[in-house]
Amino acid sequence: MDTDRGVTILFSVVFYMGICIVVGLWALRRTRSSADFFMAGRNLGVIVTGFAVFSSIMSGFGFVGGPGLVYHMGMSSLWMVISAPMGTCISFYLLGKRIRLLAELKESVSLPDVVAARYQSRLTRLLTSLAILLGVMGYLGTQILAMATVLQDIIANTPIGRLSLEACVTVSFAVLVFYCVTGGIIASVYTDVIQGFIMVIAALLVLVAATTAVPDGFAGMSLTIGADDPEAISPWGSVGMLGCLSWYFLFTLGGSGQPHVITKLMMSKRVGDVRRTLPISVVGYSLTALLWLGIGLAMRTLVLSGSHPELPGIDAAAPQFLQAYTHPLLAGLVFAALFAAIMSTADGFLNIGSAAIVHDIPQSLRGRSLKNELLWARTATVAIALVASLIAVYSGDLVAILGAFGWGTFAAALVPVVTIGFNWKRATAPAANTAMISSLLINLGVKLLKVRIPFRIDAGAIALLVSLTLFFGISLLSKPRKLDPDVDRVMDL
Amino acid sequence: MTTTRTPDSDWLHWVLFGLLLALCLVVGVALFWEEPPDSQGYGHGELRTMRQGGTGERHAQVLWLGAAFGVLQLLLFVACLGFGLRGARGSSRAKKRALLLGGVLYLAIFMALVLTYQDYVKDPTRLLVSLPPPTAVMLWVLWPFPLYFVLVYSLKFEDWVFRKEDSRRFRELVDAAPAGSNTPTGPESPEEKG
Repeated sequence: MDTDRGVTILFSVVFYMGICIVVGLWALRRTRSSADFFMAGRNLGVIVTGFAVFSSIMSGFGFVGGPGLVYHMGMSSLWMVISAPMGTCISFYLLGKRIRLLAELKESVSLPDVVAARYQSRLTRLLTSLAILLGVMGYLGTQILAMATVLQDIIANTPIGRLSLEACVTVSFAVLVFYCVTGGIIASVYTDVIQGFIMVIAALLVLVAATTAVPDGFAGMSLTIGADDPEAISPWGSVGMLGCLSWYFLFTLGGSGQPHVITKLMMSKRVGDVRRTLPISVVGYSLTALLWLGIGLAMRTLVLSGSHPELPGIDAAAPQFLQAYTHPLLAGLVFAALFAAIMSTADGFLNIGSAAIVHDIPQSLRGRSLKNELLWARTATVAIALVASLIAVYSGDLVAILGAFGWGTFAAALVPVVTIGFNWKRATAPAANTAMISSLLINLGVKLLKVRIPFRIDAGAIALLVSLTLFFGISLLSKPRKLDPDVDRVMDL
Repeated sequence: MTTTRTPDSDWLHWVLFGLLLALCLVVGVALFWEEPPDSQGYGHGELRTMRQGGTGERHAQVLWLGAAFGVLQLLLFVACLGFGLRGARGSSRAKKRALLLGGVLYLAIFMALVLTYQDYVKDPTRLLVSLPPPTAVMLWVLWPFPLYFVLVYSLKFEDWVFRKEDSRRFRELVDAAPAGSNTPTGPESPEEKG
C-alpha cells in the first residue's frame, strides 16, 4: 500500500472514531440513570432500533472473516449469511412484542431481569447472567483483537510506521470505552445508526468494485471457480451439505438468542414500532452482507486465475482486495465500515456484560441491586473491556476458543429459555436451567476436547438442538407452576 | 372468524417437540453414518490457503439425509413463526393459511435447490443468472424469500400480532401494577423450593 493511500485510510478511520467520541459526549447528557444506561429509557425510534439490530448482528467477523471464508472454502459460509432474514423473522415473531411488553411491565433493564420475571427463579437469572457474561468475554476479546490488528496494519502503511499490538489494543480500548462509559446504550445505539449507514454504503460500493475487478462479473467468477473445483461454487462449497445446513440451523434459530440483539427490542418507544423495525433490520443486514459475498468470490477468482498472488492467510482477503482493487477513498470508507462493524457489536456486548455484573448477578445472589448502579455500571464497563483486552492480547488460543464459543453458547442457552419460554406458559424453571447447563457443557466440551464431528456438523447446532429438546421434554414431563399474574396476562396478549 | 382459545391449550408445542425429535434422529444418524472420503473437503493441491470439495459424488450416499435435515429445519422455522402468532388474536384460519403458503413455498425452494444440485453434479457447466443453478436458487431465491414473512408481519401486525384492544388491555395492566411491585427480583420458584 503506498503512503498516500495509507494516510487516506487512516484519516477515514480517525474521522470515524472522532464521530463516535462526539456521540459519546452528546449521549452523556442524556444518560441520567441506570435505566438510561442499559435501556436508553425505552425511548428509541423505528430507524434507530432497526439499525441497532442489524449493525449488532454484523460484526468484524462479517467484514473480515466472512470474505476470507468464501475465499478459503467457496460458498459454504454463505449459509451463515442467508440465514439472517429468517432468523430475524423468528426473533420478531416470537419476541418483538412479548419482550417489549414484559420489559415495560416489570421495568426491566436487562434480559436476565425479564427471564427472572418470567420464571420467578434466581437460579435461572444467575445462569442466564453467567451464560451472557461468558459469551461476552469471548466475543468482546475477538472484537478488540480484530480492531487492533486492522489498526496495526493501517498505521504500518503510514509515515508513523508499525506500532505494537499492545499500543493498538490501547487505542481501540480507549475509543470504545470512552463512548460506552459516557453514553451507555444511548451512545451505542446512536453510533449504531451511523455505523449501519456506513456499512450499507460501503458494502454496495464494494460489490460493484468486486464485480468489475473480474472480467464478466459473477459469470466470470462462476466459470473460473467452477473450472478449478465444481463443488466450491455449488451451494455447499468445500464443507459439504450437512455442515452447511447445520450452520443454517444454528444461525437462523440462534439469532433469536443473541442477547446484544434482542435487548434492543426491549428499548423501542412503542410496541407497534416492531412492525417497521423488522424490514429495516432484514434489508439492512442483507445489503451489508453483499460485501461478504462479493470480496470472497472475487479474491478466489483472482488468485485462481493468477491475476493476484496467493494470500498470506485467509483473513487477508478483504484487506488485500481493498488495497489492490478499490479507490483510496472507498478503501477508507470500507475500513471505517469495518471499525463500525466491530464497534457496533462490541458496544452492545459491553453494555449487556456490565448489566450482568452490576445488576443481574447481585440480584440473583442478594435479591437486590447495587447502590449507585449507574456509577458501578460505568466502572464495570471499563473493567470488562480491560479484561477482554488482556485476554485478546495475552491468552493465545483462548480468545479463538471463546470467540467461536460465543454464538453457539448464546443460541443454545437462550433460545429455549427466552424465545420459546416467553411464548409458552408450560415452560418451567428446571427445564430452563437444564437447557442452559447442557448448552454450556456441550459447547465448551467440544471446543476444549477438540472433538471432531462427522460431516463438519457444527457443535453449536448440536448444542442448540439438544438444549431445545431437553427444554421441551422436561417442561412437558414436569408440572407447570402458576405464573406471576401480570406475566400470565402479558403472555395472553 | 375470531378464536378465543388460550395460547397453551393448542397443540403447536407438540409439533415443535416432534420436529425437534425428528431432527435429533437425523443428526444422530449423520453422526454414526460412515463418512465418505473428502466429505469435509480437502486442501487445494497448489494453493495452501484454499480448500476444495471435489465432485458431488461425496454427497451421493447422504443427499437424502441432507434433504431431510433441510426440510425438517424449515418446517421447524415456520412452526416457530406460528408459535409466535398463536393465541386469542385475529383470524386463526387466515393466519394458518398465510403461514402454510409461506411454508410450502419455502420448502419448494429448498427442494428446487436440492434437485438442481443433482443435475449440476452431472453437468457443472450450466449457469443461471451468472451462477450455477443451485447456487442461483440459494442466493437469489432462498435468501430473500423470508421477505414474505416480513411482509406478513408488517402488514397484519394490528390484526394478528398486537391489536388496539391488546394495547388497551396492556395499558390497564401497567396502570394497575402497584408502585414498587415491578422490580423483577422475584421469590425463588416453588419448583426450586422442592
